[in-house]
Order: sequence, then C-alpha cells, then structure tokens
Amino acid sequence: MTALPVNAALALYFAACLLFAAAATTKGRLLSAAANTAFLAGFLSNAAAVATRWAAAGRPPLSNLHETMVLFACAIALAYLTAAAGVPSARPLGAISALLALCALGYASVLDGAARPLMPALRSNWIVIHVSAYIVGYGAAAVAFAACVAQFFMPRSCAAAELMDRLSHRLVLFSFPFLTVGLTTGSVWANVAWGSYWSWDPKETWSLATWLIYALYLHLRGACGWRGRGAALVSIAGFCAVLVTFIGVNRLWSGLHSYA
Amino acid sequence: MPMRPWTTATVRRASFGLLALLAAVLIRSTFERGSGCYRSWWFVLLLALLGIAMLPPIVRRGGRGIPAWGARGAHAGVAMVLIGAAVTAGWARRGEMTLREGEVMDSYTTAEGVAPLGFSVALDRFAVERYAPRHRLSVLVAGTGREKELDVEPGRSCAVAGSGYTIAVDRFLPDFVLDRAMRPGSRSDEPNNPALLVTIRKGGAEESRWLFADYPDFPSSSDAGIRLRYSYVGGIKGFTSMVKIIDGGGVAREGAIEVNRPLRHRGYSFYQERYDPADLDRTVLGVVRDPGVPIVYAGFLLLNLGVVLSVSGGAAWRRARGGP
Repeated sequence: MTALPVNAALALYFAACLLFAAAATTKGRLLSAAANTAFLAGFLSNAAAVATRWAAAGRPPLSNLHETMVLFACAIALAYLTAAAGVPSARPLGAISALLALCALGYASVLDGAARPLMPALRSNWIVIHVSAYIVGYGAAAVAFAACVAQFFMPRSCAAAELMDRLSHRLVLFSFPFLTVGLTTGSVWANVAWGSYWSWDPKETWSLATWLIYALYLHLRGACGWRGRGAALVSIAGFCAVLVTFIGVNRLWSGLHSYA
Repeated sequence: MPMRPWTTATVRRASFGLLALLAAVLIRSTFERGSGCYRSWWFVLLLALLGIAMLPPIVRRGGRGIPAWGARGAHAGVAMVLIGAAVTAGWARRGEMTLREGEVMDSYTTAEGVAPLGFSVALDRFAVERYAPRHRLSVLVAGTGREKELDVEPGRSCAVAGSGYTIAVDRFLPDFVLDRAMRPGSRSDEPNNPALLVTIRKGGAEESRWLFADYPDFPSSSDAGIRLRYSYVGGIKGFTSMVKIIDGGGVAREGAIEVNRPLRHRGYSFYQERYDPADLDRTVLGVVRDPGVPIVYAGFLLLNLGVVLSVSGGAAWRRARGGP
C-alpha cells in the first residue's frame, strides 16, 4: 500500500480514538462531531490505500495478511460509521472501534507489504467473494465486540448499556450471513482447487468454530432471551475466535492457508 | 395439549449445549493435530447429534413469514451438509495418478492400492508457466529518511534521484552459490536464492556488491550513505496438464487440467495436484469420485438462503432495535 494514505489513516484513527474518549467523558457535542469526522476521514484514507494497492497490483488486494488487514481496518470503520455514527450515546463504542481499526491498520503496516504475484491456487474468482465476505463479516463482528466490551464499562441496565446490547445484536445479525457465505464459498473453492471441500485444516476448523459460536449467540438471544452481559460474553468469545482464525492460525500452525 | 418432546426447553438447551460443545471440541482439536479425532466414534456421534438437532426447527409448527421459513431452510441446509459429508465419508474414492508426457493410464493409486477407472487418461503435454521476474531495490539514502523503490533490470543502470548515486545492475543469478574456487554461479534456473550483482557509484567512487533477496540483512554497501534491499518478484503462475480421456475406444474428452480448473468425466474429477520441478515431463493428478459433493453444495445453497432470509427484516431486527 502507498505509505501516505496508510499513515494518514493511522493518524486519523488515533485522533478519532482520542476525540471519542474525550467526548464520552465530557459529553461534548462538538467533540463527538469532530471524532466522527476524524473517523470518516480515516476511513476515506484507508479506502484510498486499498484503491491505490488495487491499482498498483492490478488485482483486488485480498491475497495476503497485509492486504486483508488493511481491508479489515476499513471494514471496522465502515461498520461503525453505518451502524452507530449518528447515535450520541455510542461514543465509547466509537473509541473502541477506532482503536480496533488503528490496531488492525498498525499491524498491517508492520507486515510484509510487498505486492507479490499470486500463487496458482489463489488465481481464482472465488477469492473475491470468499475473502471479501469474510472481511465484511469480521468488520461488523469487530464493532459488535466493541459494543459488548463497552457494556462492561457501563452500569447494568442503564439506557446506554441496553443500546450497546442492541447494537451488538444488530451487528452480529448483519455479520452472520457474511460469515456463512465466507465459510461455504471457501469450502466450494477448496473443492474446485484441491478436490476436497473440507480438510480439517486449522483455518477451516477455527472458522467453523467461529461460525458455531455466533450461531449459538443468535440462538441464545432469539430462543432463550439472553441479553446483556451473558450474551455479550458469547459475542466476545466469537470475536476472539475471529482473531485466532484471521491472525493466529497462520502463526501457530501450518496448513493449506499458510500463504495468507 | 401435550407438548411435543422436541419443543421442550430441555431439548432446546441440549441442542445449544451441543453447539457450544462442538465449538469447544473443534478448537481443542487444532491443538492436537494428527490425533485422528475427526474420525473417532465420539466425534462422528457429535456430528450425528447435530444433524438430529436440526430436525425440530425444520418440522416445528407455527412461525410464519419469511424469517421463519429462512430459519427452517438454514437448519435443513446444515442437515443436508451433514448428510453429504456422511456420503463422502462412506462412498468417496480419492487417489492420484502420475503421468509422463505421452503416457496413458487406466487406473489410479489410492491409500488401499490401485483402483481401475473404467477408461483411460493420456497426458499429451505438461507445462509450467512462470511470472516474468521483476527485481526491485529499496534504496535508503542517509538524511532523506524515506526508502525509494526502484524497479531495475540486469544490464541497466539507474540514478537515485536527488542523491548523486547511480546503481548499475551487472548480473542476476536465480540460485546463487559459490563454487570451490569461490566463484559465484547458479545451481539451477529456479529462484531458490535470487542474487543481484550491483555497482554503486557516486562521484569518482564505485563499489560492487552482491544483494540477496532472501538475506536482506547481508551488508549492501560499505558506504554508510546508502543502504539497499533487494526483492525478487517472480514464481510459478500456473501449471497445466493437457490430457485426453479415452473411453469406449475413442477420445471422449480433451482438455487442460489446471489448479482451480479440474476436468470431469463419468463421475470422476481430475485435479492438477503437483509436479516435480526436477522432472518437468511428469505431472501428478488428483483423482476424486465423491457422490457427496452435490448434496453438500445443495446444503450450502439452502443454508445461505436460509440464513439471509432468517435475519432479513422481521422479529430479529425489531428486537435488535429495541422494539417488541
């Protein structure tokens, strides 16, 4: 990625994080508006970095951890801006979301960012739908996680905590179909490339576990009426599984996804 | 009216407990790779129970509208995927065949031994396609604080703008090695250890150095004013087996098998699996006959449709928005 938009996005996410934290403490409307503007500008810079990379590489930037982490930061920002930017009491959520986007982009910037040609297995149209579905799903799951974490810093049953609870539920409802598309298209692609739709590769196994945890969250909310911190803990577990699937698996184990 | 057993809260809780247990088992299994747990009786039993747990939501009475039908579809999709997986486990056959150019084979090798195909596969040609190699230098000139990226080519030189340095690329060795007389050479044409010989000039001074793509910390210059890092960009773009399927005394099919592009004939799928870089006339094709695949794919379709419909609109979103 070109350094300039990435650095600008890093600075803007950092500024948004500080401004949201200040706005949450002082309840200042001006600070809140400034925080949202900084987050939006950070998102636009981040999107410019993605577009620049796409143009330079001549293909969608979806083929290694550096590229997908930059997109992940973008997806976090977009999920927050569409789901909660207009809600005044969502400032703590904004601070955590901006911090998550900052961490994702910061991590991307220390990874090897060289644009390498695609290996044969990645030269497929399936990469676009499989990876982009996961990135959108992960972005929404990250903001849902932020909303769950924010709940633990609020008094139980206060209006803001209930808002966080509802927001996290909405974001998981939005994320889950994307996780499903990512999981199943990955399986179809594996069958096309390797002749096996499921190989119990660590990444596959963790992605299935992640899907099961979010399925459990939705069932517990929908059928058992779970709310508040209990449900939040399941959603937090889901996002921890996302992090292991996305980042940890390739650090801990070798497998079919070792290139990512 | 008596309550059906599957509508009781106990069964529901047991089903959700099963989801949690399965997620925990899957996570645990990745720390014990090679333990064979995915084929153990208790793991198969867990999957079977998961399949059974899908039935009550499918046949449940009540719950009208698109989300309710979506939920039924999603559960039916999971059940179908599990049925397809059971068919794969019971009836799929997989193996591989190694073919040399001009060779014809009518069988493939499985873990149990040699299995007949019922037709023959002939390899006409095997080809490896490579990306055109690109050489990139990251140049850091002292005092500028920022690295510059330069695309260079052997036999050419380029100036580092605003620094007074010029860099000439004298030679490229894809698989650098020193012989007994300590002369540099290339062990093969494969980019196993790409190295560039560069000459750095500034004013009247010049210095020649080997730069190694795989060893970026190898000193690039004795001149503290400039630091170079070399990146080699290249590699395999694809590999293709041109084959003929001979069936019933004649050529039934003819085509290319590539990664992501299998060839299918009479229920068999042929995949471009691998090749031997030391023997480029030979290819290894994966051979799979898996009657479970259509069932799994149908399950995926149903699952995706069901999930999208079950979360779109309706009660879930109303609840999430804080409504009734």
